[in-house]
Amino acid sequence: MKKTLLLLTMALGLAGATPLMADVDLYVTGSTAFRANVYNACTKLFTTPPVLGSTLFFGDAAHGGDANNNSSTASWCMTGTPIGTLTNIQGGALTVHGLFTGSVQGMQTVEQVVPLTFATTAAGVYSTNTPTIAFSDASSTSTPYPATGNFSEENVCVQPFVMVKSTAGGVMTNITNITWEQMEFGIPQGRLPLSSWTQNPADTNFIYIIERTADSGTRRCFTSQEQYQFGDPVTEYIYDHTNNFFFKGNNESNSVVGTSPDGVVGAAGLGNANLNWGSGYVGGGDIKNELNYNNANNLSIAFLSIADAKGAGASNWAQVVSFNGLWPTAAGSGIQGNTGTNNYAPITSGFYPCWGNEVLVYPNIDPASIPGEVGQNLTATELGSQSQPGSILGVLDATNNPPIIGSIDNEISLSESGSPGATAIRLSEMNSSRQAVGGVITP
Amino acid sequence: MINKKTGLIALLASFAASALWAGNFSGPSSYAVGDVLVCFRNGGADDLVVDAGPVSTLISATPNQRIPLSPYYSTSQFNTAFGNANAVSWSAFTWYDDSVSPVSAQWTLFVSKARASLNKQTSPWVAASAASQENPALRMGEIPIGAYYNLNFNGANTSTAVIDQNSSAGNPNYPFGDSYDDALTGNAGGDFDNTFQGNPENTTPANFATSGTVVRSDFYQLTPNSGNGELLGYFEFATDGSVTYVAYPSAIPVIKSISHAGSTSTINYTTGLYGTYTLRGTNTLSSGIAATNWPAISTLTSGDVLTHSYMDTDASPIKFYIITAQ
Repeated sequence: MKKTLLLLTMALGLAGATPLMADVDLYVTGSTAFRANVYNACTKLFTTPPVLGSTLFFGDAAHGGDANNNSSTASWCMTGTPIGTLTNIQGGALTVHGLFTGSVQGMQTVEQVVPLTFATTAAGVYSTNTPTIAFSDASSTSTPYPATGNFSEENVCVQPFVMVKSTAGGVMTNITNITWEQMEFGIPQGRLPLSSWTQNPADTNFIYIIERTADSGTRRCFTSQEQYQFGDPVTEYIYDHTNNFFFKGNNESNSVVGTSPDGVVGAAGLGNANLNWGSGYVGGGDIKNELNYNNANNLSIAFLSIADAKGAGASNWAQVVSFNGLWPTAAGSGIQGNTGTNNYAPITSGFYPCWGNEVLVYPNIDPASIPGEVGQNLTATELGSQSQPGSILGVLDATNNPPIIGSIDNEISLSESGSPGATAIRLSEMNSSRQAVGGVITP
Repeated sequence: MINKKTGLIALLASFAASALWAGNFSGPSSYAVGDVLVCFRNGGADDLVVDAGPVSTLISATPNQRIPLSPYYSTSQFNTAFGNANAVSWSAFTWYDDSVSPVSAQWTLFVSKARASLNKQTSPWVAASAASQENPALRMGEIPIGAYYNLNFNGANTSTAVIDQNSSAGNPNYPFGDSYDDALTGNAGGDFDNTFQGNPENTTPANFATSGTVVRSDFYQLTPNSGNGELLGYFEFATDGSVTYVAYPSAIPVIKSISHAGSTSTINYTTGLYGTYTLRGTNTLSSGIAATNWPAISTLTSGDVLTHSYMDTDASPIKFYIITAQ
């Protein structure tokens, strides 16, 4: 009799218990230009917004972070109880580790399981793990690291780009538009004579095309748009902002600002990771800084994300010029100095060509089963994809209309109504598309 | 005058220093600008890229000197890449960048052009401006970078001959640089992505390996803004996959017509850009002397492809003529 009662009690107890789920970690890397969007969306993956020092930690400058400790910081970690829509990971804690090293570099480290040093849930403590997913401003198919086999790729949103000129004034006032043909000729050589704009053969001084290092998704969108492959020639000129001259970058030594003879401008990155991709400017912010050097010798132009271009010049988008006579927003030249919202109708309608699909590269099998992985504990069901509701990517990268909380799509939607407007476009708003980076736009 | 000579010597020394050093593919920067790249492809999985040494070696060769490329690659490597020499497309090229002096030599191109007829020189490439020649040169420059990153791709590879994959686009084996195929074709499909005026390649017939005859491509130097390219020689591709360079080749001389008046015979002839051409004559064909050893009458005008005349005064009632070249 006693035995029967005990067995019944145990059976009831088992029936009433919910399955215990393990804590899970997501390691995010990739695009520096897109990091703020990722950060903002991730903060909403938790039932309680992350709190600095308690459930939110930032990496320091030596570990890929900075002193800002906000969405622009490239190294962070946030943890907590996942929101209810993350049904595939209920019952345990979710910890998201972010370390944004650049688009191409991010995809390469995910696919080649290269360990990176991430911030953790303890201040000043770091862990070395392989990244789980990577965001990129350019599709992996346009790089040496296409997502194949155990890795897949999906679109996240659309990133607008613009041509921007330096604040030098003087002869730069001649540059009010840039054509596709000018860039096709100019990208390999890194510069064009001013006569290309003035039609005056006597204007033999050069306008320099400032470029990112080869791991940049922005650069890939730019060169691919001009029908160049990843390995095709791009001559990098660096502006020595102290002595006010341009020199050809031919090495991988860096300076934080342009300084001859260093071929890389910007932070060396964790473990000098940014010094493995040839000469050039490390970040879009570094190019923005170059364009802001107001000196008569700084005759330069660049292809920048709409977010980075906002800060070049005395007011929002003050230095943006048209491309093939077209502007990225319905305001036309009114984007210069714009403080209102951005209407990207020229892009969504298929007129303005400077844009790319932000993509996400992720494992399509259990991340913990990828040969060479370090520190992965997610299953494929838990990580999922944007087409699998309840998974992490089924929320973070969901593109439903209306958008769901916790998604990047939702963050873009929220930014559309605020000033000075969104810096990305939701996929559901696009009335046109392109099948390849820089490829034909239809319709 | 002394100053002028000194200046000239200085210029030559400077030019030589930048162009004579031979490179290879053993390091990311070990290729020496000015080394001739001889590249092969057949539309299959792999290409073969060869660093054939400094172009200055070819420039300084003597007329009709034959320079085999066997020190730089072997037919064994060639066969590893392609199996045989049938339907293989190949070209030879190099360039001077903006590190050479004098400035007028910067962005000089050296590019091959396939002969349609084995013994007939092609119409030359035409030199363009330095700015126009810079872009094809920059595309050429991606090939040795790609070769370096593929040095270990095939076990037959050496520091001067690399078998690498035909397609570099989306290929992890090419973190930097391009394959020969991609550098040449690009988005436009050929002519170094349409940055050059024409096709530098020579494509062998499908039965070439058993045809028993070679094919040739002329090799032109295109100094910016210099008009017609200067013929330096030709590359000769043999049925076993080997290549030999022939410097400043003599042409086949032609006696266009002969007229006779009194005791003077007027011979109209053509020679060639390079070589020494000798008019020879004899009064009999039964002397037993080979035609190439008939008595020399005169060294003929050469250095162009124009028709010239020579008047031979000889009272003999009959005379036979031949022009020999060397």
